[in-house]
Amino acid sequence: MSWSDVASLALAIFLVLVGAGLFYLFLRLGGLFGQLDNSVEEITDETVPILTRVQVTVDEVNAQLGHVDEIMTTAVSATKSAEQAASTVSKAITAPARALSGITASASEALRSFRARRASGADDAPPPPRHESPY
Amino acid sequence: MRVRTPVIAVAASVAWLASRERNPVRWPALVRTDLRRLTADAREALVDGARAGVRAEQAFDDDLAEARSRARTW
Repeated sequence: MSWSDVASLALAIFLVLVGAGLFYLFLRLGGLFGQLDNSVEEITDETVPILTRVQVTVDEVNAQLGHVDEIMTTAVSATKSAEQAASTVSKAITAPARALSGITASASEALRSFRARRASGADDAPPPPRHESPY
Repeated sequence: MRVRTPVIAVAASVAWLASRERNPVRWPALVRTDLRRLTADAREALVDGARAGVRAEQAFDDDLAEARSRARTW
């Protein structure tokens, strides 16, 4: 038996061992892929209903947000209407009240001034002192 | 006996003038003077009243502006 035959025998044994290792490796890998396939199927089966429910929930939330948007729009419109009404009422009331205040003060002051001048004129006194208006 | 109102008015006027001035010749001048004073007093009183009205409106505007500024801080 020469050294060449020994090397060939060693190589053959090495290749047989490598083949056996690869076979075992592929066998375990096949089992792993099988478990992975099962896991993916389970995840898919459990996730799809959840996603469906989430989609329904989001749709309902969107519908409620639409209602809230309508409520906010209505509230803003009502606020503008109230502001316009208050402004209109204020303008309608302010002008007559202002005029009435001026007329009342004017008439009161004119009457008071006239009486003061007549009273001082009846006494034949020098010109009446300047009347101080309360306004 | 019914006494007419014009007669009473004339009698009251004559009595008032006689209490002011015994000489009837001076009554027209007395009436003119009184009317002038009355007119001047009325004119000056109206001027005072107009000024007071303007000041009252200005005070009203100031009060309204103050009330509005207070309302904005609510």
